[in-house]
Amino acid sequence: MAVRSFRAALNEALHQAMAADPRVILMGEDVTGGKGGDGVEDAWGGAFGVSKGLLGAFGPGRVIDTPITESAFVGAAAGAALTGLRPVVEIMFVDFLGVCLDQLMNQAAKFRYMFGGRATTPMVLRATFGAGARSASQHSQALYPILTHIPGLKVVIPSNPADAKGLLIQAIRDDDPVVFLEHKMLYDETGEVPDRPYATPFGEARVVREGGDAVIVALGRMVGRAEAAARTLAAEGIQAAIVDPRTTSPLDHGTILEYAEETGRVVVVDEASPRCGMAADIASLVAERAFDALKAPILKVTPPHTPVPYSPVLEDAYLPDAARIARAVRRSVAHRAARGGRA
Amino acid sequence: MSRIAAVTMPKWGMTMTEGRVAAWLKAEGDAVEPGEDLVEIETEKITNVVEAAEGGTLRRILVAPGQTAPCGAPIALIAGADATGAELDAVAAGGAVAAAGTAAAERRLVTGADGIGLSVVTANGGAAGVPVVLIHGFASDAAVWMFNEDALAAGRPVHAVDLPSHGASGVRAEATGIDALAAAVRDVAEALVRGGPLHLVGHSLGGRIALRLARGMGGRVRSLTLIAPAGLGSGVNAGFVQGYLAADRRRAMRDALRMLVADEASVTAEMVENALAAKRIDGVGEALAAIAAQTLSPEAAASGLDDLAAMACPVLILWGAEDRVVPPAAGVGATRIESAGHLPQMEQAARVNALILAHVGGAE
Repeated sequence: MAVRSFRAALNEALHQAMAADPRVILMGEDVTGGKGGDGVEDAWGGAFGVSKGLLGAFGPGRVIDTPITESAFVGAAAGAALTGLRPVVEIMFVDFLGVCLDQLMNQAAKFRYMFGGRATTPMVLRATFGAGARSASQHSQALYPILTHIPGLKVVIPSNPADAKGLLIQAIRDDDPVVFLEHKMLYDETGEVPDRPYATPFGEARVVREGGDAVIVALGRMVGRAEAAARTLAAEGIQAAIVDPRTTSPLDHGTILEYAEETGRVVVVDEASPRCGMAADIASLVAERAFDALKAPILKVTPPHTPVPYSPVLEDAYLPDAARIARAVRRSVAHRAARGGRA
Repeated sequence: MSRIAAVTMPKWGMTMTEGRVAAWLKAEGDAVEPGEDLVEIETEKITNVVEAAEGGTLRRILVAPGQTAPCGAPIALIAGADATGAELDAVAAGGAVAAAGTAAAERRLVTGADGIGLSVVTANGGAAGVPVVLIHGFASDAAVWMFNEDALAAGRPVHAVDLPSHGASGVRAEATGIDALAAAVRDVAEALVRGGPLHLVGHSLGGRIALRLARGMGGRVRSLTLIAPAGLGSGVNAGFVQGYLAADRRRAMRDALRMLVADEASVTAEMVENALAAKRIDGVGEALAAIAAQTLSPEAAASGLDDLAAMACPVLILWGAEDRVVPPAAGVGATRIESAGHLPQMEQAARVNALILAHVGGAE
């Protein structure tokens, strides 16, 4: 057990997975990290430093720099997976999904189904996502609802270093295509991470915090903000539980419903755009399956339905923050008091 | 100058550096009896009540509710009515200075002959007294001593070992029987005490291991404390062992862990997450199943009685009155700890600490 950054936890997962299984390969733009300069290799370990050291450890046959052509290398990864490799392919920003969506949506995601269960596609597509880095609207989106919508894909959104490692190892061991989304503002977050390899299963939420007054469901970077909100609320006497689904596909219905029923008040925090997003999806789940337990309307805390602003002031205002989350929980709790609702 | 006792911020586990006062259960001016609940402390991981170690009047509250203080810093002063304000100020200031000099617990890996490291957390490593070695139970780790390690470390080093395939130790697929586990712990203990004397404290399976180890180490073991030990005749609840081994999801694990305690509400979500995370490390599930098969089976239920009969050092046996995992064994002279299940050292930490300190002190 050691304290590691989110970035280092991912790096360790890749090292351990590649050491354990020679079928695991890494592909993407600049994954060899600075190769191409005169005599310079692995100078900075990829665009975000995640693949540092892998070229030296596993060589250019398994750590492969690609041209700037997502359509080609994501397609190549899907084909490689079909033929028995376990590629981990990186697109730098999930925003670039558009140029390789057919390879993912119509090919990788469909192979098992279209071939009658006789083909598997054990590929992982890693990408950064999320706002806060002053990267403007084409490099800051949280597109996981689009991916979650596609049957045949698994979608993973780690919120902390320990989960990042365990979920990435599970993604690599999984026989289906997995989209693994790394919030670019979490790379320097630290936490305790076990040294040895371990796999964290998909479809199991993490209960971040217990609390009987309300439950906050939050993903990715929003988990930390929900925790900050819960600390503020606790000082006011409001105990909010926090559930982090960890994967949006599969989604852990059981834990979300358990806490919805236990607390009767649900606040969903989602960094994705509000229309057809995860907040709406989770709210509909609770409305359908836990309606009788609800003491207040389900509340969503999301950005407005706009592109991510480039102006730092506007970008900060765009994102849900701890204050907004806390306000939503207070509103939910006050709803019962105002109406003298069910106990 | 009358006796002034500083109540300090406790240190629960090696990662705790500071705590927050959640609530004072007594007000300034209240009379306080030893053992009475005094203050509720909250950390990132856990909330627990601190009891008064000494009686008197709660003269000063130094840290208000909602405020944090570093571990070891004075948070209140208990004294007689004759202590003057200046005397209280002096003790508060002196305690803060002493706390700033307190060494943090350290974790290290002690590598065995096979190259696999066992993790040890040491508190007060520089102290001159006879060291205490703490051995946790099946599927647990050194964190089970979070409420004890610091309290026991007054004047002596306290080493909390992680067993093979547990906690931060490496996975040893072959170290699954009592003798192999005892040998692994002995390697670590020898590296720590270097031929000197030691006290052993073992919980549950760790108690069974401590018995075997103490027999092997002979007179160097000055005292032995067994908390809810396996192997003294009462058997281990197979429902717990099988439930734990089969649990691969949160709810199943929560149900298994609830069997460990008298107050089921004390099983937090984080404990459940940590237990699942520990079991998911490659090789751990298989190693634990093998350990359970060899050491917790009905055939092993009375396997420690021989070792117990052979003990030359003083032996203290503590047992939670409501233990559902290893029910109290009859005829072994155990001290009952009321309002505790299988984890009395956590559930009734102050009482267990006092009993162990008296036992260890009496043996020196």
